[in-house]
Amino acid sequence: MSLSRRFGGVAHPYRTAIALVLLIIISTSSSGVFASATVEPHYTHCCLPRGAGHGPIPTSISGITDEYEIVIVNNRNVSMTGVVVYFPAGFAFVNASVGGGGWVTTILRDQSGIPAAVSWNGSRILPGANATFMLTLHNPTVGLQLSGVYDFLVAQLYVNALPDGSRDPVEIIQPIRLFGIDSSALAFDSIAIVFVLIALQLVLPRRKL
Amino acid sequence: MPHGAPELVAYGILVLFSAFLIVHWMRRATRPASVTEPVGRELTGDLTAFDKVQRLFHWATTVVLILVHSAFPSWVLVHVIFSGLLAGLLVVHVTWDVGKLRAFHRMWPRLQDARDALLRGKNFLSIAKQYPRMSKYDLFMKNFHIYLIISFAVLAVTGIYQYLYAPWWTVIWFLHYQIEPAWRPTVIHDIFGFSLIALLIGHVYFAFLKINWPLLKAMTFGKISRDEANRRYRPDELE
Repeated sequence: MSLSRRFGGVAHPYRTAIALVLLIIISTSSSGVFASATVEPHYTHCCLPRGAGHGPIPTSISGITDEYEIVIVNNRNVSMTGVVVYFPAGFAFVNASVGGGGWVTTILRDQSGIPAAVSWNGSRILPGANATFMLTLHNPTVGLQLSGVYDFLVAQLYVNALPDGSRDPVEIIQPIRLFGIDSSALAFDSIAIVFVLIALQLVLPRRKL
Repeated sequence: MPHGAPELVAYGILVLFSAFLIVHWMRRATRPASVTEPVGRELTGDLTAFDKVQRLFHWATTVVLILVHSAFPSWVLVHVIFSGLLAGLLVVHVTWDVGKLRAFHRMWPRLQDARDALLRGKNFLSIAKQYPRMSKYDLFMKNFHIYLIISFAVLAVTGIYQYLYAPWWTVIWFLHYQIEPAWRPTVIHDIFGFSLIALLIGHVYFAFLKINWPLLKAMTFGKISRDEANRRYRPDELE
């Protein structure tokens, strides 16, 4: 049976079991207990300030394909040998990549064969160092006015040490951009133009608009 | 900012409406509207278009509406108090204009208003050169007035419900929708509220256009001059 088959036959059962235990620990613990990983959507980098939704957390947009930058910092004094990122249900996997060499990317699937996590193994993050992993995901569609907060679970595996983990929330909100510009800015700019035009007619000679 | 409706919808209403006003301004800057309809009965003196109660109501409503919006959402109670004041002003308005002046029919759209609006639309699009004389209230103004009645009623019902039963501002943001009933008063409140803001901006825009200054002066001082009335208006429909 196996867990390894279920998860694509790549991860060792021992490691997968550890990861699952870790998943339970992380998902039942409060966010911020472990703080050596961050998950940040590209949309927050390029287009929206962090926390552009309702809370002080990274934000992305409903229904778009976005790149998620996962920064892992090794705060321990032993080397980190693997990273597993479980993305929330509703997110569709598109692609995974990593900047540094030596990492082997493995897609882990759930029972129905849908990608549920990505693991990176085969290289090391030395104590005090960090590494950046990229996940391209298609965001879930949130309701008409109901935004959603989703937790990414990030597990970090070490040599001869207990694994670490973190729970990193991302808020998915409705689109807020019109013609590539923030809709509120566009609205207020449009209104400003209207009032400027009203003022401008005062200097237009003999014109009765 | 909206708290129920998607930002794209709420701000989109403002963007679309402002875009229309900008297009209107550009069009009328290059081709001003010139009245071609001959005057029927000429006025021999200045005319009182708005009495003191009407003017006082109009400007008091302006102030209260500004305060209603500027007070929200930080001061919900202040928002509610000014909304109550607005309701009081509306009672005075209805009592005076409908009860005392018997002026309800003036705000009801007629076939002539539709004809005028059609001709003005054609003139705007360069399909027709004719341009009608203006009444005190045209089709747009009358429809704006009807929207105000509907809007105030909807905003009052949804606002009161939120205040009493679904006060989302008292809970942490991600719990908003757990106290929101299925008929979504917050969404309705937002959409009608933003539509109202868009229409009020349109109202201010048209009021401040030079062509409408006589009516703006009349709303301030009460009277419209004989010359202005004979030049652009149907004097019979100014009273």
